[in-house]
Amino acid sequence: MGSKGTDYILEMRDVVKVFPGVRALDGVKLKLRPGTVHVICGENGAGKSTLMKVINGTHDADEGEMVFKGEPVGKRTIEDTIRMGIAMIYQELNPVLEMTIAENIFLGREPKAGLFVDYKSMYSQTQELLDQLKIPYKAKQKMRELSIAGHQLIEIAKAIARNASVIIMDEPSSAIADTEIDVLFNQIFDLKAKGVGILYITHKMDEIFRIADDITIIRDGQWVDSGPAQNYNPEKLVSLMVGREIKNVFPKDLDVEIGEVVLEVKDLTQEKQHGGRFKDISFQLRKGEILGFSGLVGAGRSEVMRAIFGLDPFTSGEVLLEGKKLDIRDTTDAIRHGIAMISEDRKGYGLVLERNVHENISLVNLKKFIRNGLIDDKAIAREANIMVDLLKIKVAGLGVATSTLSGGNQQKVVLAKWLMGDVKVMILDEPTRGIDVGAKSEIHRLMCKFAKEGMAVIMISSELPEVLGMSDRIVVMQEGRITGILDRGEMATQESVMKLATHGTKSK
Amino acid sequence: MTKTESKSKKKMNLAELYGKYGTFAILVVIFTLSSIFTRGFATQANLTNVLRQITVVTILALGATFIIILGHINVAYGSMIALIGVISTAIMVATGNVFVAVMGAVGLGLVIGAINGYVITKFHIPAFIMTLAVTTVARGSVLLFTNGVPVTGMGKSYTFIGQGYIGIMPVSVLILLVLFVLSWVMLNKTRFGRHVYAVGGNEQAAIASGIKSKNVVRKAFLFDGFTAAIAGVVLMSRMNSGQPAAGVAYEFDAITAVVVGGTSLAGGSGTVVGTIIGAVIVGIINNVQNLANVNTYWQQIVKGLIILTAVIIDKMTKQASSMKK
Repeated sequence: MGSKGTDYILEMRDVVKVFPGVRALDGVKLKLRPGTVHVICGENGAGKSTLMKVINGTHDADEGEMVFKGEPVGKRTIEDTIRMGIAMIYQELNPVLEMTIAENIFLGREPKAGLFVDYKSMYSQTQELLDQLKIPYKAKQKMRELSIAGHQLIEIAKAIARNASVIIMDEPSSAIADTEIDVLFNQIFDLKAKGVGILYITHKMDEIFRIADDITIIRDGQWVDSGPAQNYNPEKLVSLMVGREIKNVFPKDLDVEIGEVVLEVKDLTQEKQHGGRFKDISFQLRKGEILGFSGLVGAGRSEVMRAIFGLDPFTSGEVLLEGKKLDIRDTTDAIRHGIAMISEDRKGYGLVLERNVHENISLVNLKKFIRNGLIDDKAIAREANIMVDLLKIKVAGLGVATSTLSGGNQQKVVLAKWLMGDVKVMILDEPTRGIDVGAKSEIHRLMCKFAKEGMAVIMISSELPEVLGMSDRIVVMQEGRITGILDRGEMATQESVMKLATHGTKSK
Repeated sequence: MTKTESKSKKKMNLAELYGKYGTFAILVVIFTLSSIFTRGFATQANLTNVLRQITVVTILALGATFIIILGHINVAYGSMIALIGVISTAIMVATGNVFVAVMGAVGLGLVIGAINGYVITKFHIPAFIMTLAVTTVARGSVLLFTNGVPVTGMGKSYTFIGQGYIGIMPVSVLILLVLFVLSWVMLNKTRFGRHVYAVGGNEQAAIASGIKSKNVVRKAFLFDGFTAAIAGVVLMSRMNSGQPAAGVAYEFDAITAVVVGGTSLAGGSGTVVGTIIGAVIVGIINNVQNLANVNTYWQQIVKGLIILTAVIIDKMTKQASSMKK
C-alpha cells in the first residue's frame, strides 16, 4: 500500500467545493512532496484559502479525494487533521499577548502534574524546542515582546511540537517587513531539511522565486498549471493567474511634469509624551510627484503620516501646505486643507464595513451634497456611479454592504471616497497590501493618474519592487529618522534602500 | 473573483432582507394571531389604547435608537423622566403657563443629555456606567425635591398633552408622530445621521474620514435628553400630577423596543421605523396579556424573554452574514 504514492506526502485530487451559487473549487489538484515548499498562486478569490480549508477540515469537499502519506483521508475535522500532522498558520495570528511563549505553545494541552499545570516541564520542553529550531527566544518571554515575525516563528514551533509533517502558511509575509522575512525563510529551509512539506500562499513574486520548489496556479476555482519553480518567471506566472498579460507589474510614471512644492515638512518631531515615534522629519513633496516611503515595519513611517493627517499629535516642527503653515489639530483640519490619507488598515480605518458603498463613498464629502439642510442622495448616487465606473469597482449596486467586497474593490471604494472631493496631497499607506495582482496594478495605474492630474502623492510601501517601480524619489526611514532620500534611477536600488533601512547613516 | 462576490452578495441579501422586513413580518404575524385569538383586541378602542399606552416608551425609544446605533446605551430613562416630568409639573403649578413648563422640561432634558455626552466622551467612561449613576442621582434628586410627595394641580392645559384628543387622534400620539418624522429625517437625511451610523459602525474609520466622533456622540445624547423631556411631560400629564416615583423600568421597555426593532446593540445599524415596529410589537404583547388576564409577574418574565430572544436573533443573523467569508 505504502509503495504507491509515497513520492507525495499530500495529494489532492479533483477537489470540488460548492457554496450556494458558486463552485469555489472546481477540479483542483495538488501534489506536495515532502521536504519542499509548494507555492499556491492565484488572485484573491481564486480559491486558494478555500482549498487550504478543505485540506485542514474546515470545509467538507463535495467531490474529490485527499491522500495523506499514501492513505486516503475521508471526511475530517480540524482536530483530526491536527492529530494527523497537518498544521495551518493563518494570515492573522491571534496569540495571547500577555502569556509567555511556553504558555502559548501549550495552550489547551498544558502538561499536568496532578491537578496543576506542570510549569517546569512546560518551560523546559519549550526551551528545548526553541533551541532545536534555533529560534532565539526564551520560553518565559511574553508574546507581547515579540514582533509579528516572532509570533509566526512561535506558531511554527507549535506546529513542530505537534509533530506536523505538513504546514500550511497563508500569506505569512503580508504582515512583516522585508528583513524579517529572512528569519521566516531560514526557518522554512530548516523545516524542509527535516522533510516537512510546506504549502505556501503568497502574492509576492520575489518571495515565490526565492522559496518555491513547486508551483500550482489556480484561477476562479480551477486548476490552471503546476510544475517545478524553474519552469516559470514572473510575467508567465502573472499571466497564468489572471489569464491575461500584464506588461508591467509596476508601471512607471509617464513623463509627468513635477511642479512646485505642495507639502513641506520641517523638523517634525514626536517626543515621548505623544508617542515618541519619530524625530527631525523633513521632506518636500511636489505637485505630480510620487514620493515613496520605505523602511522596516516599525520605522515610524505610518506614524509620521498619521501626525501630518491629524490622527496623532506631534511635539514640534512644522507642516506647510503651498507655503502656508498649517495648524492641524484633527483629521477635519487636514481634510479641509486637501490632505487625504488611506490607511494600511483598510478594515480599521478605511471603511465602515457594515454600511453600504453609497454611505461609505460619500462619508468624507457629505457637505457637498447638502441641499436645503438635507442630504441629496440622488446627487450622491450620480457621482458615486461615475466613480464606480472610473475606478472599475466591481459591485452589484451602491446599496451593497462594503464588507462583502473583495480587498481590491474595498480599496477602490476607499480611494473613491477621497476622490469625491478635492485632494491636493494623497497619502497612501501600503495601498496594495493583501490585494490581488490585477487590482494591484489598477491601483498603481490610478496613482499615476492622480499624479498626472496634479496631485502630490505619498506612498508608504514595504514591498521594495513597488517602491522602486512607483516612486519618483524614495525617503528611507529607520527607527523614527530619515536615513536618506534617493532619486529614481541608478541611485535607488533594492540594495541601497535596504542598506539605509537597516543600518542607514543620517545624510542630508 | 466575480463569482465569489456574487455568492456573498446573495447571502448578504438574505440577511439584509431579514434585517429590513423581519421585524415587520413578526408584527404582522403577532397582530394576526392576536386578532384571531384574543377577544376585544381588534377593536378601534383597544388599538387606540395600545397606541396611547406605548407613546411614552416609544418617544424614549426614538432617542435610544440614536444612542444604541452609536454603540452606547442609556439606562437612566425611568428616573430621568420622573425628574424632568416632576420639575415640569412644578413649573406648571408655579407659572400656570404650559409653554414655560414644557420649555423647562426640554431645557432640563438637554442639560442632562449634555452632561451624559460630555462625561462619556471626555473621560471615556462606558455609557452604561455613566447613565447608571444618573439613574440614582436623578431619582434621588426628584425625591429630595418633592420629599416623595406628588406635585398636584397642573391644570387642564397641561393634562391636554397626555389625555387630550384632536378629532379621533390622541394628542400624545400626534406628538409621537412628529418626533418620529423628526428622528427619521435626522437619521436618514442629515450629515449628523450619516455620522451616527459611521461612528457606530467603525469609529476609527469615521475619525479618519474627518468626522469629529465625540461631537456626534454628544449631539446624540442631547437629542436623547430632548426625547426624554417630552416623554416625561406626556407621562406626568397622563397621570394628572408630578409623580416622583413614576417611570420605573421604562428604560427596559425602551431598549427592548429598539432591539426588537432590529437595531444592533453592537452599533452601526438600525432604523427608527424598526424602533416604532418594535415598540408596537412589545405594546401588543403587553396588551394581549392584559386582555387575557395574565398575571403581571408572568408578564415581567415574558418581557425579559422577549429582549433576550431579540438579541440572540441579532447575533445569529450577524453570524450568518459573516459566515460567508
